[in-house]
Amino acid sequence: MFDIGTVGILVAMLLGLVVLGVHVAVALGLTSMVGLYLTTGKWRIVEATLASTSAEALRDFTFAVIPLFMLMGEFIARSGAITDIYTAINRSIGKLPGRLAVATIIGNTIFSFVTGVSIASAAAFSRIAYPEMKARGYGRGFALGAIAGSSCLGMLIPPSVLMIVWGILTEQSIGRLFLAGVLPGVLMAAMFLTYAIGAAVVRPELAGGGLPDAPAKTGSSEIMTRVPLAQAFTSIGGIFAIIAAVLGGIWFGIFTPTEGAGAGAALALLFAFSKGMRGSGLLAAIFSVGKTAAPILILLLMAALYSRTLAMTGVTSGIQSFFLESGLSPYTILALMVLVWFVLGMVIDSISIMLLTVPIFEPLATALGFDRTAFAVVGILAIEAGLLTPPFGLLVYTVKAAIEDPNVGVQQIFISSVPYWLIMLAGIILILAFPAIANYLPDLLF
Amino acid sequence: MGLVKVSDWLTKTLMVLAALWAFVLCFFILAEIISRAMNMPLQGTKEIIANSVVMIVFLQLGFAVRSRSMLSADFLIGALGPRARRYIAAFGYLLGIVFFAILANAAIDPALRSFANGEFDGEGALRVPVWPARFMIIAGSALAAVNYAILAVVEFFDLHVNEPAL
Repeated sequence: MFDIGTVGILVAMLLGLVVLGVHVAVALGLTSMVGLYLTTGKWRIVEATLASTSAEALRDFTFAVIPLFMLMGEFIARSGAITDIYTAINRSIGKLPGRLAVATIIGNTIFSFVTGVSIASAAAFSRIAYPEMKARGYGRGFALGAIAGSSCLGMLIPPSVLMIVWGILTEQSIGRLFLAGVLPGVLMAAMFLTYAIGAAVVRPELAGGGLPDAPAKTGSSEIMTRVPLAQAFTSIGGIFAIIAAVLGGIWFGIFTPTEGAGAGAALALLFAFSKGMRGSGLLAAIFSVGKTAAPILILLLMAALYSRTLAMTGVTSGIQSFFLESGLSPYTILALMVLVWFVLGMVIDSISIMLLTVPIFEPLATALGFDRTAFAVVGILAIEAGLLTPPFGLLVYTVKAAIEDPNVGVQQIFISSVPYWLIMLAGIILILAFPAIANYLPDLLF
Repeated sequence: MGLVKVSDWLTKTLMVLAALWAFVLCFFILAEIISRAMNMPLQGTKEIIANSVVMIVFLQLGFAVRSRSMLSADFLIGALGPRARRYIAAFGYLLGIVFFAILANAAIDPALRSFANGEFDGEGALRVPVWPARFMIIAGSALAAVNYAILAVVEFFDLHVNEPAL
């Protein structure tokens, strides 16, 4: 059934529509329809596949995990606990060079354990940490690079929406993928920290230089003085309890990821209320999830349709045999895949990239003999690194929009993010060289 | 304009309904975990949640379209002039109408059959009917097509219509 003409039409159509800015879901859906029609020649089959996929593809307990984890993250974001934690870290690390950048990276690492999306981390830390760093005379680029760079951890450290989508697309255990992200996430955080401290030592002017640590120069650091110690402890305790209950419960087999997400959302709701969230905040959180979760789920539905089409038209096996017979070494092919992700990451959002590429790349990588779990982590790192690069790095624009500082150009943030995505590319090489970084924890438990 | 208002009201109402429903699911799951821990598992929870996902997505679809939350790559059209950008966007929305109209139409027969045959999900004591989700696919896709039509007209003629806010 594999026919190079059909494949050409489908690939060109899909890419053309996506580039023209057609909604990715519509582009996937229409391309699948055309593909199905070209292979089967029967409109009836196209209609039947459309109807059955929309009814069945999402009718699964697993998919509820996405809105529920988002709800959990929203509640915690609205509880004000992140500010408390940022303050506490800041106080406890004393006189480290680049202290505020260090606190941003550690804070982002902790926040990553309760949020599934990088954008949320970037926006939150732009508002909390940037005014602080600016007031202490940090280089603007250095400050924003630390925020944008460390926000990438949100997708690597569980719960991560990207890992859920990856797990669904490749039919792997989401719990296992969650666990696989922990060590690479910590490794990335450690490398980010090393860079931030190193940069602050070598060029002290980046991190406020000779300015006295307190009081701050301008704009005063109201955030820093406002939080009493007891409040900080409640926040840290609460967040760690939620993380332990949700991830612990999933990993020790007490419940499924969906149940963990449901319990986590309920716990986070209680926590946010105890920290003073009111009814209006609750509604805002619920609606915000409604607005962000639906487009992702629709994309997943269209991706299911697209995978079925790929399978029926034989595109997947066609591409696979093309590469397997091309005589290229497995690592060359892998490098090509990472390159494609990195480039796509510059122009479209992470989830769309995964839906477009993973149904083709994953079977290919498995056929080449790469470890599936490590490959998932590599893929997520590569896609996320693209979010920091010009011309359209999404995280950079999020940071720019959130800081509301007309004196900082997008370009400046892009330049100071470079070390962070270089570190992520180094991380990819490390994980490929030592797949155990990803596999060690999952192998202990599963 | 009056029709747009009616459609926007409907779109927003369905979205609010679905968002609240998704919120209620977390308590539903909590109840399931607790009852299981007490050795009295609730029947059919998984099936109800599975069908809820389909319902919620199609209830929210119209709003996702109308509020321009659907994901897309805008790097190319961002680089074009305003007029070209509007026309290309309108073309994209036109494709949206086509796709969701076809989907709504294709879903009609299976929904009717599902209703007539009493299609159920799950086994044992509690069986969850599947037809409500199937009808929701028709309604949600049709509403998505209507909203794509609104967006296409707005872009093509450069009209200024308020987006429904929450």
